[in-house]
Amino acid sequence: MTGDDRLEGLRAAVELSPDNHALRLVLAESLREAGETAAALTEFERVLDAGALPRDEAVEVGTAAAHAGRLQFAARCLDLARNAGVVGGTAGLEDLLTTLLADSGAVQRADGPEPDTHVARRVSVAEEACTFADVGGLDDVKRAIHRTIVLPYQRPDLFEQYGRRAGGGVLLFGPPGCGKTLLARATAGECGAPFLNLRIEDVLDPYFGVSEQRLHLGFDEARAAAPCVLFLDEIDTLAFARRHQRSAGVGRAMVDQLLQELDAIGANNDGLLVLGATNVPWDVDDALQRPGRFDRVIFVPPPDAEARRRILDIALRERPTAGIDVDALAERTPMFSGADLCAVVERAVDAAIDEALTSADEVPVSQRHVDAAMRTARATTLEWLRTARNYTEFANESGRYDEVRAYLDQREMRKLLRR
Amino acid sequence: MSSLELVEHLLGVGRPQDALRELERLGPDEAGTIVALYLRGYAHLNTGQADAAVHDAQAGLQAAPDDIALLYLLSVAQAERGDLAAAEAAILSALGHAADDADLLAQYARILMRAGELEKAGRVLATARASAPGSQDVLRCHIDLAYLRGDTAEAEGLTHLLLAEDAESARGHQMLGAIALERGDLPAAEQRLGEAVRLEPVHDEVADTARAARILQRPYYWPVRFFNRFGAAPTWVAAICLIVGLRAAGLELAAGLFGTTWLIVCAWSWAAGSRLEHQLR
Repeated sequence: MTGDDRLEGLRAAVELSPDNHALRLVLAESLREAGETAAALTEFERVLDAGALPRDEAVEVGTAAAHAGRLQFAARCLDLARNAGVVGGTAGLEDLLTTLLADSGAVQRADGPEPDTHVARRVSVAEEACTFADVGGLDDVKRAIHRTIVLPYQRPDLFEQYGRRAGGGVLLFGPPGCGKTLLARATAGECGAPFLNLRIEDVLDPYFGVSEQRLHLGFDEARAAAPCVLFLDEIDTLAFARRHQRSAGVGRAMVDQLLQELDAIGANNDGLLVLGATNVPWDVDDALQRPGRFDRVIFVPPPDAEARRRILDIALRERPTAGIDVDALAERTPMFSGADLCAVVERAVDAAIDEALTSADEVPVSQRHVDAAMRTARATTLEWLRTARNYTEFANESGRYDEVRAYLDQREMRKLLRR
Repeated sequence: MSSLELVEHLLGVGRPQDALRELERLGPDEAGTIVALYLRGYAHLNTGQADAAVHDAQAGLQAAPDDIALLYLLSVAQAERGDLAAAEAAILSALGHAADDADLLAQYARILMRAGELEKAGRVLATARASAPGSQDVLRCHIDLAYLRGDTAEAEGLTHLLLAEDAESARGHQMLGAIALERGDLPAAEQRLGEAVRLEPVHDEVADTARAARILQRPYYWPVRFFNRFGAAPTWVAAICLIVGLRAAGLELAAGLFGTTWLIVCAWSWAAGSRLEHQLR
């Protein structure tokens, strides 16, 4: 059998079983050996998409992709290699990527300092715009964000008259799964500003001083892109309260660095809105919540009925349904987070599938299945709300959490939180 | 950065669920390493899955039977499951490799305290203190031991020592709050327990006690304070003795008046107690 015949055979086999990633990997390797680099990279990318690219191949494939000008693919290979702990070749691939990115000018900005490409890859500008229209319900929160964040961007002249400038630090907090990240993206969309996302995975490095340096570079890039929104999701992982940290390790140093970036001695934070989000504001270092840093806090409560209806609509979309009263279900699920609602839908779908398997007919998801799913469903936000009640009751001397206290003091809430 | 470093960081910042999610993403080679098993066990322990933590520790010990960290984890997880004998066996194995390790000795003392062997726990802690005089873990164990022995004065003194070293120790404030509550010093109890809640708001029972300390300071609750301070049984015995004594002394009217007052106080305390429970809910 010639090499061409073998390749044809492999192609045919992959066409027949497109989900056989091991086979696709063999095809990709054979194509590479045959010198068909472009076709090989396409196959390797599919294997990578399926999460089946062996880690020991990541650097080699990434290097080939970088040379072929497929920088994004190469960056993904580099991420895979780093996450898998591959040491050999990652630094070389990173250097190659840095050089190629700089040559392409993709990360340079005309009006700012040349950003470090190392972090530019990590802090990416959101590709798709998202606005408040994409966030169902939560009207009070949207109004608060509009007043405190969006308007200073849209009417800087007016706010400057009152000594207010766009930017600063705002902390979104609330139970998990309730749309803080989506709200942050929508805020950036409303401001018409680029959205830069800096996560703990992008910053953390075991080597002494490197994590702080990465954090600094992330902020530098955001300053160069200003006006923009720098989003620090799960900010407690970056700025975990120093009182809980026994050793003077990387955690403490990161808090110090973050404070320095926010205070911006020797740096200009004008137009830079630092938006933090956390489920555990009580674990965020106190120093971060002082004036000039994250001095505005916005509570993002569990979705209201309107938001729940929209979440349910989305979760049920593209599923065969019959006679589900979504409005009633939204009313029956107070304090359910988005994830809780999706879990209810998934359980109902599972029940419908079980029924379909026994009856050999297509059984649409019906109200009956939803009712059965609701019998075991619980709002996971209640535990968070109880903790929040404890905290706001005993640690709200400054009145920062008055908003969440008022929310928890509602008669309906008190009833729900009763054990 | 490797995933294991991220997992370690997530555990350090109190996010064991996220750490478990990260661990699930590891490849089979990395997931089977001793470090990964240790971190998984620790994450399971912190999410209340002691059985899974025991499983992880045992899996790690198959590859490294003398690993002290894994033996310590196994001991803590077994104690969490309530299997004190297995917890003791694991910690004794660890101590066989590092007899003077203060952390191991403190864990052994905790097991002994849970088993009610306070004298032996005291001896173990004395060894631990000699080995690491500045260990906060050992100091915390000493505080618990003093409290369990009923020596609140010693517990209080040691807790002040702990707070001098770490002013934001939730456990220290909680201990002082509990001692103040026992003494009937409600404002101090509220202040200390409130501080403990501020530092660690996840503990509902501490928050409820702090709330109770706050509510009980209102004048309406004086009969409840009275019973709490002296205990229901001794107060009842004292009241009945007084009534019988007055009657024996021929002071029928005084005994009747006292008896009626006593009944009113009891009814009041019952109503106030119910209201307190309602308010706490």
